[in-house]
Amino acid sequence: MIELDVNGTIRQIDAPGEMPLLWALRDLLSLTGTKFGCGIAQCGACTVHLDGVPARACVTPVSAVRGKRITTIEGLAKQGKDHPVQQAWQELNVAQCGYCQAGQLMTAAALVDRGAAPDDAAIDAAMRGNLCRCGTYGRIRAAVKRAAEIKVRQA
Amino acid sequence: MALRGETAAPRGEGVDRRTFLKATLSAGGALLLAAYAQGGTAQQAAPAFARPLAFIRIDSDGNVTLTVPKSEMGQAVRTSLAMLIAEELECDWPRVRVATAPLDPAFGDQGTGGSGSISACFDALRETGAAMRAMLIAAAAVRWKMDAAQLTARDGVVIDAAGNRRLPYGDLAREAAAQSVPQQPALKSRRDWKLLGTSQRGKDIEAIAHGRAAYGIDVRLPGMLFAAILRPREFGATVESFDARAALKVPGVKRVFSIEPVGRPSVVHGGVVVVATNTWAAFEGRKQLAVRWKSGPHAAESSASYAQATAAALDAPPAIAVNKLGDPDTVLAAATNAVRADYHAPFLAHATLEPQNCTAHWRDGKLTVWAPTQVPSWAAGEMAKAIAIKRDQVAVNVTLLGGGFGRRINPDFCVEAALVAKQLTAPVQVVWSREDDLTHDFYRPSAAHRLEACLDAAGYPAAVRHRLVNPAIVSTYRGENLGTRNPGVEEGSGVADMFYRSPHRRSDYALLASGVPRGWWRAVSSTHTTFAMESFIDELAAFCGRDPVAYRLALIDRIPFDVPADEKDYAFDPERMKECLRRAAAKIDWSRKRPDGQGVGIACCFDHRSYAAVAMELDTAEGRVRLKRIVCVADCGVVIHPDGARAQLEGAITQGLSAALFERITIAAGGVTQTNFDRYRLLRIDEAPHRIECEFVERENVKITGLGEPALPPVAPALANALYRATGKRLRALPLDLASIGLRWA
Repeated sequence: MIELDVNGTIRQIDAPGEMPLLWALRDLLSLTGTKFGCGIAQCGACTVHLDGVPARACVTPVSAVRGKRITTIEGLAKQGKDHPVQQAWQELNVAQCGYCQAGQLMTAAALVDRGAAPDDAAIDAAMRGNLCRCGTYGRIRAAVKRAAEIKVRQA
Repeated sequence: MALRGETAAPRGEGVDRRTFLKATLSAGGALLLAAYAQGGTAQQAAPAFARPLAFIRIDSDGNVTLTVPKSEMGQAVRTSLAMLIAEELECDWPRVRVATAPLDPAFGDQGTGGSGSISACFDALRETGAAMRAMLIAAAAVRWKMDAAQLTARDGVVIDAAGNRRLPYGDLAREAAAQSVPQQPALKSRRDWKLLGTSQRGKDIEAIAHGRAAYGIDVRLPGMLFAAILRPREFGATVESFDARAALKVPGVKRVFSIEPVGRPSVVHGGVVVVATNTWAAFEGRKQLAVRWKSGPHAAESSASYAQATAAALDAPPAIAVNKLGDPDTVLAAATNAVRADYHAPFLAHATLEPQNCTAHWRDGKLTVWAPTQVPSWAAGEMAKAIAIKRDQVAVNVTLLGGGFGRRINPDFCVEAALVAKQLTAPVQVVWSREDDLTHDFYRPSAAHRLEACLDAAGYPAAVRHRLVNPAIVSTYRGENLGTRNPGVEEGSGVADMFYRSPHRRSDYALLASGVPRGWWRAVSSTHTTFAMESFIDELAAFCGRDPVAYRLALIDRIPFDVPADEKDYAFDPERMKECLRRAAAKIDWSRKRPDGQGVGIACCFDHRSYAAVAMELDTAEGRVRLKRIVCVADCGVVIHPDGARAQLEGAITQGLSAALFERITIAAGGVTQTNFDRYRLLRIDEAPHRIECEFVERENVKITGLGEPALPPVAPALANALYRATGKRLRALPLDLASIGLRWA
């Protein structure tokens, strides 16, 4: 049995150490918010946080996350309070099909949490690992900037 | 019966219900109609309002749930179609919840694609809302013992203004359901709209932002198993033998068995199935399979063999005549100033970010399915055939789709799940890896266009000759003996039926055989025909030193060929095309001269019944192509959800840029080379435009048409044209090889 700290709760899973965290989340813990897109860390749909740092769950074996705080999209809002990126995403109607957006939100949340309001270059650099086939990139950029504003307002 | 205080709207802004089914389709989507018919489900679309209760549920607390009869794949039908009902129903929009209809004849034609949803549902769903409103008012009238004509309804409440009484819908719901359904409810006129024409927050954005949106791949049922299928790498190869011993040793793997290919129209490749207790175990078990494949008829097919066959067909006598006006051969033979250009486009993959998947449960002779499908009726028909049961023994639940783009029209991924489920008692989800998805798609066909023209004394085309060579989409589903059906009409739509005037013209087609399965990719044939046409017209303008915008405006004219009877209401209108072009040119400040190394390019198209023009301004300093501005002007008649409409343009343009710059599927030894996003390159955020400027031309007295596809085709030619203006160099193959002209995309 492997113990995982997922969104603040300790969960037990019966899985080989090599199983990628993505599948432990989706299939063993039924946390399907984290998505499968490519399996080789090229699309970012599987982005979670490990100790607050974005990681691609599709290439992270469960053996590597012992002792780390795992945050998934389901745990981004704390005690019912949306993260600034979640507020901004809803305000600006960012999503089209929405399948990539959990990964986009997790990457964006870490960027916004890092501090200073990011400019276009910083957003592009941080987010370029997250693909969107529907083409919501313009709205994602605007939403990251809006989230940074919301964060300042809430401070 | 008009209710007091309400204005009856003129009919005819939407689609006649009797042609509900057919009218969702354009010439390019005509295959879709054939596909539905082939599924054996020629549903008589019952007028939607005959059963308003199928679409509208009001509970005693007044919560309203609206059911939309189309698949949600990011085009926001769960918002826009719900708005159609809600406008007439007069309910409290922010509280409205939305459901996607399961497959059921009560919902009419649920096929989603061809940019047709709003158009198909425009009248029927508004009538549904109006009928329900009338029934709620009638129920209140009974309760209050008064004349319904003296009552109104607004924001979820029926009001007796004179008597100062109100009844919320929740209180009336049960009695309303017992009222008779009005057959021809009056609809509001556009100027009375309160919801339609406004931008609303999407109904799914909250769920999406919290990871609660459930796509096909997210379906979870008690005791559910997961399956991965090892399909032949080579199209048309079959399983000769397989050894499952190593696969069965992988923890979690439960069963291994083979499934047979299923022929046209489903085109299921067959292969070896690994069933396990979780997705990863299924994928790991699959890696351990030892399979001997029997090669098939396509083993030698490759991009090189393909290029040879294409070149031969471009030069050889034409196989299929598509259309002709006058005597272009004679005029061209006599010309001294003929221009000729060949344009090439590759196979493209859909690359929906959610890979294909389908969940199915076979129990007691019935099949229950959860699928991210665009056409549940076709899926149900093909599943029933594949496992030899009656169509009415198949229940299909339509989930959210993580992208569609036409890939999920095909029933193949559902048929596979039916075949797998039949071998099991537990529910099973067949999951495709990204590798599966990229190598077993129904690709946008490759295409080679040859265009030749000679010009008159004024510089305008005197004769235009066109040949298209490609493996048609229709022959994937129908084979190569197509009888009287002319694949050149569908494949060549956009250039065979060009809207530029030429007194002599002809278009011909040569069908290439290919084992690569072809399907409908957002905007279908326009994706390559518009590239050819809009590049060529620009080349002709340059040849005689004319401004490309003025040249087009002088030549855009009625298309001189007949359209099918059911398309007459949507026939090409040159004035609408010219207006989009003029406005796009004005927006990009077309006539301002740009310094060396900078340029503007423009392109326009009539696709899936709507009009679009795209203009771009580029800078090519220091070898980097920097997109300074991109503008799009579209005309779909009426815009009912402005923010959603803009999103459609933004998405189409981004996808168009991705295909224009990077996307290409190549073939080797009868199979696809590109296996994942490291080799099939999609546009990323740092490569995407910072701002896409959108404008809509709105009109009275035209039928409402769609926006899912029309803004995509002009993107590649606008870019090629802008590059030409900036550098003097002309690129005629997609994806545009910037490196070959010393440039790279910034």
